[in-house]
Amino acid sequence: MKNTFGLDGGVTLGCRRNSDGVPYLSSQRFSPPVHLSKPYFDPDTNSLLVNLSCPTAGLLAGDRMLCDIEVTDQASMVVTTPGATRSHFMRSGIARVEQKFRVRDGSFLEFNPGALILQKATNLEQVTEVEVDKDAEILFVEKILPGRIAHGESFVFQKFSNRLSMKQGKQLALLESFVLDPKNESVLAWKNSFSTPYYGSFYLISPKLKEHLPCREKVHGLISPNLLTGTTSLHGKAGWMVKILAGDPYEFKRAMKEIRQLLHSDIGRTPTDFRRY
Amino acid sequence: MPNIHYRETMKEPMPEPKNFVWLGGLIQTTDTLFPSGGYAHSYGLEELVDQGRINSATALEDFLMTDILPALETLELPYLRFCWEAVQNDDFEELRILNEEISARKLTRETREAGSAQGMQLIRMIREIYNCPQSDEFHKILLNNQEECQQITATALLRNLQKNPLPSTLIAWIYQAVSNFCSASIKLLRLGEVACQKIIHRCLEADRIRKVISGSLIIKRENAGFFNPMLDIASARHELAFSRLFIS
Repeated sequence: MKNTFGLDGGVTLGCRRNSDGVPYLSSQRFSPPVHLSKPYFDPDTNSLLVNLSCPTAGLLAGDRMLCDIEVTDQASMVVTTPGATRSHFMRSGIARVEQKFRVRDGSFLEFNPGALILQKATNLEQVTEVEVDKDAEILFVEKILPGRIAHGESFVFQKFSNRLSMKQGKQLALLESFVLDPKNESVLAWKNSFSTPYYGSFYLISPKLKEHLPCREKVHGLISPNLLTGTTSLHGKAGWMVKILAGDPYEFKRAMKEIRQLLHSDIGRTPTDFRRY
Repeated sequence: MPNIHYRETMKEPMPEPKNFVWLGGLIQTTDTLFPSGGYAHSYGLEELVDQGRINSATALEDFLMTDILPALETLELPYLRFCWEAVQNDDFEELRILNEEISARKLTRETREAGSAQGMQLIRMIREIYNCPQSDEFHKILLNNQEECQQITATALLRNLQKNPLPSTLIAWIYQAVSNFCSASIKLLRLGEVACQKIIHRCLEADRIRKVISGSLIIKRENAGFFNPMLDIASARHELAFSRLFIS
């Protein structure tokens, strides 16, 4: 049944550098369910910080959200959200998120939103395409929670379909897709990892890290009874992937923060403060 | 009585050779004597055993049922089918794209390299044993592009050459995947051969196989995949393990 209240909107951003070398939004367009806050230039990291917020407090049935971001001209941009993205209860219909990121000409993009929370009975489809030039870099971060864990809600969503493709130049670096449905065995591997499993992943594509990720042993060393971490290289030596599973929110948050700092350091950058006060 | 049985059997017409002649090749190339290289890999199992997450025959069987068979259903079997169809159509460009996609879908370096090491070994064996112009041509294409053959891709070439029907091709793949884990578990968990055979038998029960295969046949290419962060992490950590018995 088609939900006529669904929103069809999103955000399209272009980021370049001005004559002083400062990154700025060269193009922007946004509409509900996305609102764009005023961008902030961080002089310490020479990056433009953009916060995407959601005036509808999350995704509802029938919503289609497009997020299209292009960074060019050696600009550096960090995109985040002020909090978690909630995919809400859906009686019928689905919500769809389409994300496209292009990083060109020696530029850098960090896309690091808050966690995606798959709330009760939600049905979400997310498709992400990443294209990075051979001399450009991206740090793409995903955090997924199987429900409002603090409220005892876990693995009661309806369905979550996620597709991620990453290319460096014309070369495929990663294809990851899955359909999670708590009514079948598709969630068991995740569900059985910890009683309340928090999942996170970093995908770092950079020409600086073809053979070696200096922080790799440190990331593996974070392991504890409530935390699992693993790093591995992407296809075609395009970059690295880090996966994290945690059994409690504090260890998860701490590990995500520490790994972010380590990865930034390995590509000779300093992480931009998200300025969440 | 034995004589009556013997005479009646002989009265039955001999089946058409084309209906079973492919079976000999299938048995030969799934047998453990065939040098596939699978014995050297645990595909992340060694790290899961090291973490204490799999520590018994029961845990291994649960892992195969809940983690491995669903992954075969939604990722490896669909890709084997796509490759099999590309070979049937003599579409080597499509086969090359599929081969690249398989590499990109293997999320950890060890599983990707395990697939390509076994794929390169298999395509070498096909070209040694058989006269297979398709494998020769595809091998040449890969060499020209400095790419490696994934095991799924090489298997599609082999099964097409052997004229194996698709269902048998898929069942043989399931058997090989399950038996590789069981073979590794003999060393890792000190399981006996009988225990392993019981596990393999249960994994291959008719209803289970039917469900896995019929499920795999409806998977579309863009949706092929399986979410198993625990196994991804185990495989990634195994790459830096201080001591290990297996390559992956």
